[in-house]
Amino acid sequence: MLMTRKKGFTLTHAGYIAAAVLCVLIFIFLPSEDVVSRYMAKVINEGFIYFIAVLGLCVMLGMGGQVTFSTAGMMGIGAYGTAILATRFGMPTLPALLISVVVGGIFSFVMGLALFRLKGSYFSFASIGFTTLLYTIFSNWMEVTGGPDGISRIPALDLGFLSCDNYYDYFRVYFIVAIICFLVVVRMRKTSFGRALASVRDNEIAARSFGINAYMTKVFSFTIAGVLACLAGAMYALHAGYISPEPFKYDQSTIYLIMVMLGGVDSTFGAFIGSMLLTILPEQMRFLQSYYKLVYGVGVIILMVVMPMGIMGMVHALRNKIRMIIKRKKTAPVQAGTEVS
Amino acid sequence: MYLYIQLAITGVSMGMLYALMAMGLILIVKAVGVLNFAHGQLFMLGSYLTFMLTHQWNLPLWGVVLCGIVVFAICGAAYMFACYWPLRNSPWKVTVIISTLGASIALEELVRIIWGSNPLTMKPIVEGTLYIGSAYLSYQYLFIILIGGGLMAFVYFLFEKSFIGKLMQATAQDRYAADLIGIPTVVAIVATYMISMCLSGTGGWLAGPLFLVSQSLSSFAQKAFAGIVLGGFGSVKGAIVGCILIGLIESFSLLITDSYKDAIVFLVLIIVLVVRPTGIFGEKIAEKA
Repeated sequence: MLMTRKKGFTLTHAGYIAAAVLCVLIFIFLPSEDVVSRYMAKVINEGFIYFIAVLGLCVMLGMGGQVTFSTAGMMGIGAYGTAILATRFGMPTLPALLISVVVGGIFSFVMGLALFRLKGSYFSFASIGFTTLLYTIFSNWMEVTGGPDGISRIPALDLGFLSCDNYYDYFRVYFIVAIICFLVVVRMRKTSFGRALASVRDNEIAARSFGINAYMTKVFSFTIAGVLACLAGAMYALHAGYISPEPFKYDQSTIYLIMVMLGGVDSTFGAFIGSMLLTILPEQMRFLQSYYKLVYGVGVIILMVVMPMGIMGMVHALRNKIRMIIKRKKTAPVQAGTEVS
Repeated sequence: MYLYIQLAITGVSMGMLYALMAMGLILIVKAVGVLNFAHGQLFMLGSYLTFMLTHQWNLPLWGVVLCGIVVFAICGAAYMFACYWPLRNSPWKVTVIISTLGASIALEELVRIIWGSNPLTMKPIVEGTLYIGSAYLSYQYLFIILIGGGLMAFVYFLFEKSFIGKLMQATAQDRYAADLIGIPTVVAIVATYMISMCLSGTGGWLAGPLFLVSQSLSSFAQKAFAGIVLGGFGSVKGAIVGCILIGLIESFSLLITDSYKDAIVFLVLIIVLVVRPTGIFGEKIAEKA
C-alpha cells in the first residue's frame, strides 16, 4: 500500500473511535424490551450468526476468489457437534461448542486438502457435493442426528458467569463474538497470509512464481472459513435450542453467497450489512407473501448488474469520487491505494 | 442376475438424464466461460412446460415435441438475455455466477406460483413394462436411453461436423477473434443457450413421468455437477461418461443402502478426486497466465 501514514490524530482515528463508541452504545442500549421486541432480537441474533458464517465466505470469496458452497454443510457440523455433545453426552455448552469448532476445523482442513486438488469451477462443483453429502448424513443417520426430526431440547449457552436465558443475553454475547470475528478478519487482510490469498485470487501463476504455496494458502482459507462456519453453526444450535437438517442444505449456501455479494465482496463490513439486510428484510417484506422469493431472485440479478461490488463497493466508489473532487480543488498529488476494511 | 440387469438399465438411464443436463452446462461453460447454477431449475422448468403442453393443452406427442423445442428455445434465449447478457462485460466472473443463483431462486418461485407446490403426475411417454425374467422395467427407462443417446449424437454432429457448430466453437475459443472475422457472436451465444435449454428441458420431459413433476427435480443438477467433475475437465465426452457412472453408482448403491445413496455418490466422487484430481478423462492442460 502506498498510503503514507500520517502522524498524530487523523480522520481515520476519529472514525475508529466513533465506531467503538457506537458499538458500546449498541451493546448497552439495544438489548432491552423498550428498544427492540423479543422477536426482533431473535432475528438480529440470527443476523449475527449468519454474519459470522458469511465472514468465512469473505475470506474465501472476497480475499481468495474461490466460490464455495460448503458454508451450510460446515455450519451443520458445528451445530450437530454441539447439539450432540450437549444433549447426549451432557457436556456443558461452552466446552461442547469449543470441541465441535476444533473438530470442525480439523475436518475442514482435511476436506480442503482433498477439494483443492480441483481448481476454480470444479472446486465449486465439488463443494456442492460436499454439502449434499453432509446433508444426506444429517437427515438419515437416525441414531446420531435424529434424522429429519433433528435434535431438540439443546441447553442454552452457559458461559459460567452468564447464562443466556433470553434473546437479549444472547444478543450481548453474540454481538461481542461477532465483533471479535470481524476484527480478526479485518486484521487478516493485512497479514502475509491475506496478501498471499489476494495474490492467488488475482493471478495464481504469478503468486506461485513469487514462492507462495497457492495450494496450501487456499486450504488454509478453506479451514478458516470452515472454523467460522462451525462457530456460527454451534451458535445457531444453542440459540435456537432445536436443529433439523433443513438449514444446512445446499440451498442455504447460495443465500450466504448472495449475502456476501450484496454487502460487497471486498469489504468485511459489507458482509455485516449484507447478512443483516437479508435476515431482517424478509421480516419486513411479509406483505409480498408468496411473491417475496420471486422479487428476491430477480433482485439478485439486478443487483449484480447495477452494483456488482455490492453496497460497500458503491459507497467506496462514491467516496473516492468525492475525494477526487476535493483533491482536484487542492491540486494535491493523487495518492493511490485505499484499502477497504 | 436379473436384478443386476435391471439396476444397470435404470442406472444408465438416470445417467442419461444427468448427462443431458451436464452437456448443456459444459456447452455454456465453453461458450461464455461461466457456470450456470440455475441449470437444475431449467431442467425443472422443462418438466413443467412439457406437463403444460401434454396435460393442459392436450397436444399429441408430435405437437409436444415441436412446441417443446420452440418453447425451450425461447426460454433459453430469454434466460441468456436476462442473466448473462447484461453482465457480459463484467470484469469479475463471480457476478454472473451469483446472477444465475438469483435466477435459480426466481425460477423456482415462478414455477411455484404458476403450478403450485404439489407434485403433479405426468403420464409416461411410452407406457408398459418390460419383463426380463424376474426383473421388470418400464419402457420409459429404455426410452430415456434412446432419446438421450440420440440427442448426444445430434449435439456431436452439430458441434463437430456442421458449419454453425464451427461458428459456435470459434466463439467459445476466442470471442474477440470471432468478432473480427465477422462471426455474429451474439447469435452463436444465444444458439448455445437455446441448445442447452433444449437438452435440459428434454431431460425434464423424460424425468417427469418417473419422478413426478415437482420443484425437487432441480436437485438433479447436483448429480450432473458431480458427473462433470468425475468425468474430467470440461470435455463433453468426459461429462457424459462421468454422468452415466454417477447414475450406475447411484442405482447399484441400492444394493447396500437406500437412504444413503446420495452420500455414496458424493463419497465416491470425493475419493476419486483425491486419487485422480483431473477426473477420469482429464488431461493435464497447462494454464494460461
